[in-house]
Amino acid sequence: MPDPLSRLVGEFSRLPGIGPKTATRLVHHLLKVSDADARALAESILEVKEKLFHCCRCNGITDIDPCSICTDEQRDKTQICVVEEPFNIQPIERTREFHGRYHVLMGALSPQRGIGPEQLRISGLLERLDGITEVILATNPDVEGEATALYLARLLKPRDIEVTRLAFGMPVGGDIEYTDEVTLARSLAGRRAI
Amino acid sequence: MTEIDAARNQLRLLVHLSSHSFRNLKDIDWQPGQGCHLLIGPNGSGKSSLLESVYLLATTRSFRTSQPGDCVRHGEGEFHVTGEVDSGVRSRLEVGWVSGGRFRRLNDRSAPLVEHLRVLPVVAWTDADRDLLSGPPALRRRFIDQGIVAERPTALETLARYRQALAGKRVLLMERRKAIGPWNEVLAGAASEIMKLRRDYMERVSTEFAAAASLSGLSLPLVELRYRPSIDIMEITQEHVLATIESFERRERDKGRPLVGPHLDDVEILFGGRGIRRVGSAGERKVLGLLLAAARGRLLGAVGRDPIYLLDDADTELDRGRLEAVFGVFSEAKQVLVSSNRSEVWGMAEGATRWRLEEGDLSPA
Ligand SMILES: [Zn+2]
Repeated sequence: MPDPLSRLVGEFSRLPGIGPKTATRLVHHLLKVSDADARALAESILEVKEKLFHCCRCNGITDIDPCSICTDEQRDKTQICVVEEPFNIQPIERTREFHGRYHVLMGALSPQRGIGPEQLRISGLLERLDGITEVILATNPDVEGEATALYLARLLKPRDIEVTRLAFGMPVGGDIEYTDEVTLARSLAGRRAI
Repeated sequence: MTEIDAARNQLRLLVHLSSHSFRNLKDIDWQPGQGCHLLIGPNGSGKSSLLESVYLLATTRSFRTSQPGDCVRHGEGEFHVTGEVDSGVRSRLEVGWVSGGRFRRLNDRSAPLVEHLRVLPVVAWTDADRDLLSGPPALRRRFIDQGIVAERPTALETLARYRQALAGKRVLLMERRKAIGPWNEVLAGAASEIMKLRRDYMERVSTEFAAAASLSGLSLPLVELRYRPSIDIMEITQEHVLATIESFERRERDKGRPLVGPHLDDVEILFGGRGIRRVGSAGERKVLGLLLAAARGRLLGAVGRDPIYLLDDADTELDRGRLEAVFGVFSEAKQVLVSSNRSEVWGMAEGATRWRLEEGDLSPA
């Protein structure tokens, strides 16, 4: 394979969910598109990297700092919903069931991958608890998400805050990202004290 | 309707089996009907491989290897096993090893594993079960868990949750890190579910074992099967399990590994009041093993999931009297695939369809 080809296949292969086979197919597709389309793709990748960053308060992805959710005065200032990744926010927003603010941990506890509490954005969460009456733990319903929720619940216990966990009707091992709106809305509405 | 009700009273038969590049088998295109099928052939002729292909089709696992890639015929890159199951409607199962990875389809689509497992319940007795009674506890845990999953495939999720939480805890203990608490809590949740399932299963399998033993007409000493959980508490609740696990925390930190939990459970098997390991002969252990297979099949039948039985080298270590008695227990089964290298001992299996396997080639005998 010529060098630029194998380089691009290599770059695609590093993306999550993409194996060498899919990477090769994508590259061969790109060889067929117009120069303008290829340039648009490359530029949009750069644009995302240049213009977007993590919100200084919630760690969500934003182009203004703090993000529009953190600065929206209409939102409930007494509730905070804790999620693992920035892309977990949108599915919850789409349910229209939650009107508070978010906090992104940037991961979940994972001994195997060397992720302990120190590697997560937990101190930032603790700094944001003034005026908060409920923390909703919306980490994924898999083992790592459960352990993370239980860790946070223990940490928050001494404070006078209600700590709740989504009531997942979805199969254990699921992922918020892939849960449909109705199920997620039901999980939010049926959240229980942990 | 529950998982069990929905499945009630459905006869499931493997009506078509085809395999390509599987082990030493010639490509197979087989239509076994209802009833007993005797597969006769010398050692190495492919009898076990044929049963393995059916087991793999039904469970997506092999009973000989944890690496499905091992099942690829020498010199080939991939294998396929396809089967059709008749349960009133036809279901098509497919498993294989393709492009260096596992492959599985239900009715030509990718489906969740639990749906695949619901299609064709199997109960097998193979060489892998030879040491079930006298070997290490892990074999008996696998025996219980396979039985549980055959009854309710969704139990796989609980077992996986326990395994993952245990793996996490192992790393934390090994690396002497803190914050084990949440992992113990996740463990306790899964552990209490597993312990209840296992205790319940062992009680029921003991009852069915006694029924199968009496059906065989063999005069056996009293056989007792007792679940011996690592966390031995009367009332299994998440709180009690967690309290027990936490009471080991200091010792676990000293040793650097988890010391309690269902991953250390065992089943005690008493034969006339004494441990089977010391008193049972190879023949007696074989009888017990086959009766256990019958017992787990009867349990599946009780929830409307009559299994197909796969009995590999069924006659070895058995004299004719015992073979006849034990085999009689399976006479009511809807579909049984039995392999043997001695055709002469199967005179009593009058209704059986006989097949010959020679150098991987299957033909009517
Ligand atoms: Zn923000």
